[in-house]
Amino acid sequence: MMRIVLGVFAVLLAAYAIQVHRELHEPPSVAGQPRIVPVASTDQVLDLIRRGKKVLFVDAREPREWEDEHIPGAIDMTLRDVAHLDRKALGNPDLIVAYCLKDFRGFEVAKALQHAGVAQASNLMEMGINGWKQRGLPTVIAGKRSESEARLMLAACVHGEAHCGAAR
Amino acid sequence: MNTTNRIQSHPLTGGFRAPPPSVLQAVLIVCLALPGVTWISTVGNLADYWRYEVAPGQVLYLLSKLAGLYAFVAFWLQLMYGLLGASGRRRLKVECGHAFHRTLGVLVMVLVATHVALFVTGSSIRTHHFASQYLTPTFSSGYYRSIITFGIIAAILLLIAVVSAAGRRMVGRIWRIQHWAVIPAYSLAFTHSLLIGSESRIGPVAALYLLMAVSTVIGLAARIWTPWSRGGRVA
Repeated sequence: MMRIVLGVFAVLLAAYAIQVHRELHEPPSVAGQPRIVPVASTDQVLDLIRRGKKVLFVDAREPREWEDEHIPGAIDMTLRDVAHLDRKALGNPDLIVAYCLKDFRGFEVAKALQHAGVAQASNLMEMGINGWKQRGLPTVIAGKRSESEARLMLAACVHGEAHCGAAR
Repeated sequence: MNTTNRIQSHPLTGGFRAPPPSVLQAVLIVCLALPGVTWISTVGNLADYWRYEVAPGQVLYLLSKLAGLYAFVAFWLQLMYGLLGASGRRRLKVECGHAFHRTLGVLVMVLVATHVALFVTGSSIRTHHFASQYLTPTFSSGYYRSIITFGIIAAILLLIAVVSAAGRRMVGRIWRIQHWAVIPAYSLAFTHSLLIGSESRIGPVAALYLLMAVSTVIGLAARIWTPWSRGGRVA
């Protein structure tokens, strides 16, 4: 039994050493910055959209969760999908905002995207889709609100809460 | 027909020969190392989480995932050890005694408790309020909560199985029936672990999950239908 435990420990130690060695030679694009993953507040994101910048939302949750509800325009990309990332599919947005429910998974996806060389990747700051909804911002809801309806509402919302209320 | 002949002619065990101990040890090392290696590959250098500013509760969430992965692998080992029975374990030359079964059972419970405590604490730190919703079963609050509910029910069934074994002198022979709660507990834990975790569906770990599912089905079938497996006690 001791041989097995020592064997597992040796493998894990080697894996960790390899990972650290790789990261030391390929540091994330945020090296030198105080944060491992840049954050974008909802206000910053709305401001960018209002100014006509291209913002891509990345939903880090499972496909079933994305189907049930997501931020308008969001693409579904779990942590395991980042390994097979097609950079062209992301286009060339000004900002990529990863999110989930509380942004545990969103943080990890944003970090993985940074490591994959996607420098625009950031994490939504105010607790993911829950924070987004608490702000009264629209989401696409299966069977209730379509992508186009939610996008129209978001287009109104970026001009202020009064406009957002009118769109509802 | 004597017992030996019956074993050799049985469809599940016919011509059975135990693999060399070194092969089993190598398989175990791979099975135990895979979740950790995959976790390391997705998390990267854990020191970065202290070197840079990260969102509150993130490290607890990551450690919770690791504890969850190992809780499930330890649960699988425990289940296989029990399903084999004493005679099955002797045939495979993996008999480590009842104390090992008890220790592994305690380890599974500790890992499950750690997994739950770290996740709830991490979520509470992140949301600034006690995340009690993750301790409450519900199937009407979306996919994520439903999958968490599978885990909650699995943990309750596991607790029933462990308590029944620990208090078998008090509850009498019924403890054996209660101890079979590990089977639905394992099925629900498998569903929870596979559907909620990112790592559990990454290539090599997905293969490990397939191995765990197949081996459990074979172990259960052997337990029910082969005479050598029934020859010994589960625990």
